[in-house]
Amino acid sequence: MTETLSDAGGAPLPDTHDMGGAPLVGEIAGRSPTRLALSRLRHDRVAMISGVVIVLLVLLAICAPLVAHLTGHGDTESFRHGSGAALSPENIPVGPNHNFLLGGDDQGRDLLVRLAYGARVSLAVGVLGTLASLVIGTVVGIIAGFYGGWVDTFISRIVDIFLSYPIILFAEALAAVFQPSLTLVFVVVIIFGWTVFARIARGQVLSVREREFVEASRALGARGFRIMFIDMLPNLVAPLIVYYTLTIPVNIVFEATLSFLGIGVKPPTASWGQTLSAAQVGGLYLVRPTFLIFPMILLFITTLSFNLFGDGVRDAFDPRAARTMAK
Amino acid sequence: MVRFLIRRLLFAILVLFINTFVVFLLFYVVKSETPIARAATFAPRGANLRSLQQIAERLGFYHPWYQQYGHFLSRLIFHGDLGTDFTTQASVNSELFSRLPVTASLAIGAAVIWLAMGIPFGILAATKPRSIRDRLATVFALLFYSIPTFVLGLLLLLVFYYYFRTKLHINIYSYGAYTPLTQDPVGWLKDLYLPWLSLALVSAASYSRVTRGSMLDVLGEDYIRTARAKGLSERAVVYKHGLRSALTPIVTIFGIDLGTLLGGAVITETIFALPGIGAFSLRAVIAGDLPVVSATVLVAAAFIVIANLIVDIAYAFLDPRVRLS
Repeated sequence: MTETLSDAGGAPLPDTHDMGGAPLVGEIAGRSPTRLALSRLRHDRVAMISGVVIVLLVLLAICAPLVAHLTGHGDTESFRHGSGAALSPENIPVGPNHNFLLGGDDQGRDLLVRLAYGARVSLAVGVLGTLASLVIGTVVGIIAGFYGGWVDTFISRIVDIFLSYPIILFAEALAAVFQPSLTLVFVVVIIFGWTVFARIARGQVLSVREREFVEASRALGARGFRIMFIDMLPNLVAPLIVYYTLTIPVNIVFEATLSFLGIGVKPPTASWGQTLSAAQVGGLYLVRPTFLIFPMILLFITTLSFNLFGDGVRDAFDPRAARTMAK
Repeated sequence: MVRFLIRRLLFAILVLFINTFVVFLLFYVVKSETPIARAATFAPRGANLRSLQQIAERLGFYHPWYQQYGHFLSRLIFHGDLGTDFTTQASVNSELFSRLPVTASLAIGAAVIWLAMGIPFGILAATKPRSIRDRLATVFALLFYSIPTFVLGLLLLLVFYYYFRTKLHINIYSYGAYTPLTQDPVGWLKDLYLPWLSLALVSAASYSRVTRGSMLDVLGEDYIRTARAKGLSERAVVYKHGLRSALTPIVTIFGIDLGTLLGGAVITETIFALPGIGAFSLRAVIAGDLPVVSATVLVAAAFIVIANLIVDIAYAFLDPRVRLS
């Protein structure tokens, strides 16, 4: 990433100056850091390919009813008897054939349709659940960093307490008290997810709080809300977006894990974790390996493409940083 | 230093207190049941009302929840006693104590493997960025980082247990067995190597990435240039000057990861049917066995809190700029 100021006629470019990055050929007008990052992202081939895979997965999720319609197999419909059954007389799921493209599942349902519907749950938890914790965490973090003092101490201690909870154990406890459900998975993702976003937002606010533009805004008579959410927020976006994209696969795996353990999404709602669990019960996958392998591959491709895409987003927003992997 | 420690310890105790309190609230206030209904969970099937009343009486269900919580706390503080397992009637202390070696063996063994793989891989990749070995390390890391632990566990079982046993008729892993280290070290290794791998490979991947990134940052610092300029060997520069500060972020995540695992590797223990704390807590939560749930949550949170504390202290030794205050 080389940047030569002479390209821009030697004029100081306050916005782009410290971001490094894309060559400024023929354009002198300041491009916002976000636009620069997006253009860098567009040139990252791995990130773009994984982006396309993610779009395909989203399409699969959205078009799940279409998949059901095309195959003629409902998502909770069992095909147990007759020549077109998805279960053998010994209750073994059939392998892939022209009728069931990916084979059947333990209940005689169409695995393809189940996986398409499962994608909805995975992506909803990954994308929307993480988004909710991003929003909550950002608001709380900005408030903590902006007001400081006891507000900051109070919020930071709450974050510490949340981070000390054994999350899986707590999810189990919630599932035992309330019934396991998709809503509960969302609740767990959100109440444990906002904390890290709050930490990041707070740290960023602390670093921009004393900057001139905040002072200028204050001098113009701006009050707390305006300063926090109109002046400061755009300065926090980059690290939050990076962490957001890298958290999506973590939460997708979390949902699959909870559903696998039987404390996540409840049957008959489809979920990849649940399908994997069904494949493993009684060693069913030994007789019909595809029953295990298809959901495994799908889950793997999903997390891999979100991880690769998140890596690309981080490199794009912080070109100086080495490629590390956030935990 | 002493003041810092005292303040952190007090906060740690507060955190643990809140943890158990929330568990009690969840089980007694949010999930409100009559004492009889609660007792029925722990009674043999078809028990009559009389015996249910006796069970409810014995387990203290007739007292208001805050009294039961007070009782739990006072027993814990004055006697170090975590109560009685509602389901098995055994002492929770001794049950935890018998399971701790399993979880500790699992966590520590896996940690040794992922550190031994992750850190060297990261260093190798960082000292020759964009070389073949860097790219290989990256591919390895991304592949394993993207496999969920439970999926990797299932795959390992499929290949090394079922496939070898049913197709090749070789037993190289015995499912669900645990041999104590003190009893038979070889048996201990044989019972744990698959669970270790399923935990360690995923972590080794992320540790190699973190090591690489932090090593690259450090190797770009001025003091590394100084070290090279004064004629130190590359080995000394990388391992003596570079590695020490590059390890700081590793220490943080390692402390938290190990602390979390020691509190019970729920997923791995469940998949490999190991009798550890994680599997114990899962069973208790499903049964609504409050003393066990409180105890396991308490132990797990205690490990996390202690790990955080050790990480903070370790910082001061690794990075002379950090002052504990």
